[in-house]
This record gives sequence, structure tokens and C-alpha cells, in this order.
Amino acid sequence: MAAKAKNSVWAFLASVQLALILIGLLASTSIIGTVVQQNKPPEHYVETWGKTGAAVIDALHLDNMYNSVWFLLMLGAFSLNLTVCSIDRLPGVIRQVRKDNLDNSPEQLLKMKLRHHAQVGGSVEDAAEQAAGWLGDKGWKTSRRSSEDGSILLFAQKGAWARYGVYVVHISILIILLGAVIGSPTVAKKILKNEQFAFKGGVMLPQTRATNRIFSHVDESEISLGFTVRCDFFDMHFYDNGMPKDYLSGLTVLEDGKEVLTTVIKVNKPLTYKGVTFYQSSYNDMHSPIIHLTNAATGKKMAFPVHPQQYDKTHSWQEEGGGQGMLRIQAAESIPLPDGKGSTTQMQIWMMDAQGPPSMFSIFYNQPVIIERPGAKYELSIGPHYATGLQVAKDPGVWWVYSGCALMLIGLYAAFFMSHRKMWVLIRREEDGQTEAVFAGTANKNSAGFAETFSALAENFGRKSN
Amino acid sequence: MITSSQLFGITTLAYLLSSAFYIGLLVFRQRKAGQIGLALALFGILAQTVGLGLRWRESYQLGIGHAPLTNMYESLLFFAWCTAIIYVLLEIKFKHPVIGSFAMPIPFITLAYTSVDKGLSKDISPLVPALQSNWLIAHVITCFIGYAAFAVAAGLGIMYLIKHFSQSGGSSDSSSGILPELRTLDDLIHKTIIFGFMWLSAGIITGAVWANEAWGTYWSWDPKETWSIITWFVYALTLHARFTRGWNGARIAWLALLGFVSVFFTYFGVNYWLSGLHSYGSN
Ligand code: HEM
Repeated sequence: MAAKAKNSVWAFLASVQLALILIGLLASTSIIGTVVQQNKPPEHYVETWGKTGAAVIDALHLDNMYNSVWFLLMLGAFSLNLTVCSIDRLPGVIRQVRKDNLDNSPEQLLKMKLRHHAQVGGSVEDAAEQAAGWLGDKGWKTSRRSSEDGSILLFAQKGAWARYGVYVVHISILIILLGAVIGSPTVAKKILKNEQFAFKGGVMLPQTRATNRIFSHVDESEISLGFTVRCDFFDMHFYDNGMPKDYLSGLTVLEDGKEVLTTVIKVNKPLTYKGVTFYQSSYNDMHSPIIHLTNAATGKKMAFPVHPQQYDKTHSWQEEGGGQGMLRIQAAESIPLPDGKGSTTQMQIWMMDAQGPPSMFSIFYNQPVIIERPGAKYELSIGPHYATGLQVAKDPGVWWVYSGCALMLIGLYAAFFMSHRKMWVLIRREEDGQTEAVFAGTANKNSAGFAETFSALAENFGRKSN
Repeated sequence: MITSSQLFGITTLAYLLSSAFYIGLLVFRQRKAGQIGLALALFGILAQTVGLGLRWRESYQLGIGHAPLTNMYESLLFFAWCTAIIYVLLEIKFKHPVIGSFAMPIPFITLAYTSVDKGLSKDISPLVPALQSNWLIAHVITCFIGYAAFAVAAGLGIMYLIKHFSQSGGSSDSSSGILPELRTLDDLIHKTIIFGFMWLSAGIITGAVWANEAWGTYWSWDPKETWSIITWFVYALTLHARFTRGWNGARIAWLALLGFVSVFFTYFGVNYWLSGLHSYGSN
């Protein structure tokens, strides 16, 4: 009784009926979250759906439904269904793949739809060798067994593993879901109690500033990176029509104060360091100027933020050869633009480096100039001070997800387009003393295609051996 | 010198005439009409291929070279092109030209729509940073091959249902007599869905990889993503219902239509209807 109850629960969990119900439910409820906007402030729901609507949305967590308990439970049930179904069916499939196909009786072969009888000369043994050679040449490697009545059975198959295709697809779905769990910030925080294991967050990093922590998207809490990242510069380029072309940030990674890595990231070209990935996602204007200085020979970029109240502070840097460079805004004044619309700022600069006397010159806001010094050449500009907006994520599950995806495509291909084809040849002596070769074959898919292959093989053999 | 948009005009006309001849085949049962329909379809595909190539080249002449796959207009062009090609391959492989009367109108209507909808920008515009990714190209190509196959499957589904209902209605001598056997249609629906499912899966996957490269999340349940997975579920359901529950015939034909409604919604509805709903909300 108990066993029977258990069996019926198992059968239900393994059933395709349950799968159809769950897939249907997942598909139909998913619609809700595309109509009700997700993760908006409560006012939004009252405004859009009225008081009652907003109450329903709140009660069913429709404002964050893909993370709600009921939706996750449905995904869990779906995973359980897939797991049980696979456990239930895999042994049978393995048996089918491993099956001893030389066991088949002549009666079984003679019942198969694809059959061809050919008369062959010579002994049974000769004919068997001939048939094995013929099939082998065509890529069908045969195994054989002789039986007591003097007949010989040959068997060859192709694509037996294609039977696993469906299961590869099903398991790949489980692997993807597992990857999603492994990479979930919520799981890391609430279950593993280790926020650093997996997180999604962001940080606004002004040029020249460094940070060793970022802010979680989940709850704004601080997450420590375990290393430091500095924004060397932020830059953007535009097309002639004004559309944005590029956003770039120069980033340097520091460990214990030492620079270990310097790189430039762009949208679609993130930086990954120790499993943490930095994405270019936005920027902010700090509403104060910054001095950019690039050594034209070495390409070394430097930047010095200007404090509006103390703009005439002296900035200094270390030369590669060992000397020191210095730069100062001596004076700044606002001057009207030639077209009379608005104004710009003109600044007097004092600058020196390891070689030669100091240089004095003037520069306009946001207009780069080239400075030739006796020992070096620089590009200098003074422009707006930006902060780069970085999305920062650590997702240790992503490789599970990607592997699952790759497996899914392989599995789908096998399940849809490969078939398990079997071919037998029974060679026996007929009552009239003639030797007969009986070809028989089956395929679990694309039977029309296999029928063609089969008849070409079998009929041509008959023709050839006559 | 002919321009890409002139070529698309010629293509539209070719698809229209092709559809007309295929419908002629359906109505008058003249084999010749089907052959002309196929020739016109092939000619249209050729003109469109050259047109797409030219548009690609034009983008390089503007100094912003990129494959013509980056906005609504270009995706519609590509969709029409895929649908026509998939249909022609289906005819070459399975030799049922009558299907053209249901399949070729799809690329025609798509192209006609691009010339009617004035809100559709046809400019070749440069790529904003988020779109500068090879994954995007892979994503668009795979998705739209999938969508095109599902469109053809829906056309087949309509044929199936017409034949099914006219047979059960007893009028055996209507034009449905020339339609392929129900069993054949059923098999073709299944085959095109399988083909589309493979590509849609690849499309969702490449989209996820692209999102992860650009924003650091492969899945964020935004309406477009969600609708693509809904579509994927609908077809997964169809495959299982058929494969393991033995559903076939009219039920699968209806599911092929439902699946295409979902495709349509993923493609258009999310852009037009859901944002529309959003704007009602703010009133
Ligand atoms: C949405 C997720 C799923 C996908 C993408 C999927 C994919 C597939 C594919 C591609 C096939 C082969 C169909 C054919 O050859 O026409 C298949 C068969 C099958 N699926 Fe799924 N499947 C999913 C979910 C499930 C679930 C939850 C179950 C749980 C019971 C299930 C049970 C089966 C069974 C029993 C078969 C037939 C296997 C055989 O006997 O060859 N599937 N599935």
C-alpha cells in the first residue's frame, strides 16, 4: 500500500502531464510580469492599477514576481519534475543503447518493415564475410554471431548515442538553473551568509579616485572587493550626428598599494579580475574641472582634479627618469565667447619638468594643447571632471550557465537531427540449398531518410553479389 | 546606380507577384503558376540579397560600417529574407508548391509594412556603444531564422486548419483538395517547429551572452527576454505534447498559431503594446 502510494507519487513527478502543466503555468504566469512593471516604488502601482490593483500586486508580490516565492516554487517543481523524469527514464535508455542486438531472432528480423532478401553465391561463411566487408566499406562496422543452425547474424549501428540527446537537453536545463542558483546574490547573502561569494552592485568612481568597496544592488549594502580599483580617466566620443560612440574608463587594479593591472574598459568590453567583473555602465559630471596631462612619448596619462576654491594649488608627478614635474593654474578668468553666446574660461598655466626652464602659457577650458618641452612633449587639457559609473558583478555560476547552454544546443541537435540506426544481416542456407542474405533495419527517427540509405545498401549488395 | 531601397522596392513587388501566382496555383490548379511563383520568389530573394549587401556597403561609405541588423527596419528586412529563403528551401526539399500561397505572403506583408509605417526609421545610423558587439549580430541572426521558421509553421498551421475544417464540413471539392495531405502538413509543421526551436534556443543563448558582456547579467527578466522565454515554453510544450502525448493534427496546428502569436508579441507587442500600456499608466 505504502509502496504503491510512493510509486504513484513518483509516477506523477516523472510524468510528462505534470511537465505540460508546469511549462504552461510558467509560460502564462510569466506574462504578468511583463504587463505589471517590476521593481517600481509603491506609488507607481497605485497610480497605474488603482488601490485594489495595487493591493493584489502587493499580496502576490507581482512587483518582483520572478523572485517571488510562488514563482520560484514553480521553477523548483519544474526542476524536480525534470530530475525525476530523467532518473526514471535514463536506465531504460542506457539499456537500449547497450542492448545486445545479436540476440534478435530471425522471426523478429523478418517482422521489421525495412527488409531486403538477396540471393548470394557461395557458402554462408563466404557470404557473411562478403556482407561484412561491404557494410564495413560503407562505414557500418559489423559484429557477428553464428548460431547452431549454421546461420550467421551480422549487426551494425550508427548514432546510438543520439538517444541520449533528449536527456542532454533536460540535464542542460538543470545545469543552467543550478548556475543561476550558484550565481545568485540572494543565495550568497541569505543562505551562504557570504556576500562576497556572488554579488551584483555598482560604484560611481570619480577620475583619479580609487575604491575597495562597491554597493550592492539588492540592498545598497557595502561589499568589500578584497583589492582596490582606481579610475585613471573617463572619456566619451561622439559620432558626427551627436550619437554616442564610445564610453571608456581607464582602470588600474591595486593590491596592497601596488599597481598590478592597468586597462581600458568600454561598454561590451569589461574587465574581469579575480572573478569580479567591471562593466562600463554610466557616468556622472562632478561639476568641477580636472587637468589631463599625457606624455606624448610614453603615453603615460595623468589627471589632477581641481578644487574650485583652491584652483592654484601646485600638482606634481614623478618623471620616468627620476625627476619631478610640476604644474599650476596661476590665474583663471571667464571670457565671453566670440559669438556672444555664453562664456569660456581662460587659464594661465605654469609648468616644468626634469629638463629646461619652466613654461608659461594660457589654455582654454576643454581645448587640448600640445606643450613642447626640451626633454618631452605633452598633451594638456582642462575639462569637466567625470565619475565613471561601473556595474560590478561576481557571478561564479556563469560558467555553469554557459556550459549548460552549450550542452543544450548539442543535445537539441542530437535529439532532433540525429537518429539511432540499426542494420542486421542474417545469412542462412535456404531449403533449396541457396545462400540467402536477409537485410533488416530500423531507425528511431527520420525513417524516410533511413529507408533510402537502407535500400541503397541492401539492394546494391544483392546486385553486386550476383 | 541602383540603391538598396530601390532593390527592396523591387523585392516587395517580386514577393507580391510570387504570392499571387502561388495563390493562382491554389485556385486554378495550374502547375505553371507554381513554377512562376517559385521563379519570382527566387528573383525576389536575389534582389533582396543584393539590396542587403548594398545597404551594408552604404553603411561603410558613411564611415559607420556595420551589418544591416541593428534596428527595427533592418530586422524586418532580415526577417522577410529568412522567411522567403526558408520557404523556398522547404519547397525544394518537400515539393509542395501550394504551401507558397500561405508562406510567400508573409515576406510580402513584412516588406509592405516597412514601406507603409512612416514611424519606422530607415536611416543607417551608427551603433551606440551597447550595440557594438559581435554577439549582437549572432543574436539577431539566430533569433530571426527561428522567427522565420515559426512564421512558416504558422502558415502551414492555417493550411492545415482550412483543410481540416473543409473536410469535416463535407465539401471535398473545394480548393482544399489541392492542398497536401493532412498527414504531410502535420509532419511539415513539426519539422519547421523543430528547426525554429533549435534557432530560437540559440537566439536566446546568444542574447544572454551579449547581455552578460554588456551589463553583467545574462538574464534580467525584462519584457523582451521574458516574452522570448514564453515563446520558447510554448514550443517546448508543443514538442512534448506531440512527442510524448501523441497530440497531432489540428491541436498541433493551433499550437503552431499560438506559438506564432507569441513570437509576434515578442517582436512587436513588447515594443508597441507594452510601452503603450506604460504610457496609459502615466496619464
Ligand atoms: C522547457 C523545458 C524542456 C525542454 C526544452 C525539453 C526538450 C525536449 C526535447 C527537445 C525533446 C525531444 C522531442 C522530440 O524529439 O521531438 C524532449 C522529449 C521529452 N521530454 Fe522534454 N524538455 C523540457 C522539459 C521537460 C520536462 C519538465 C519533462 C518532465 C517530465 C520532460 C520530459 C520529456 C520526455 C519524457 C521526453 C521524451 C523522451 C523520449 O522518450 O525520447 N521534458 N524534451
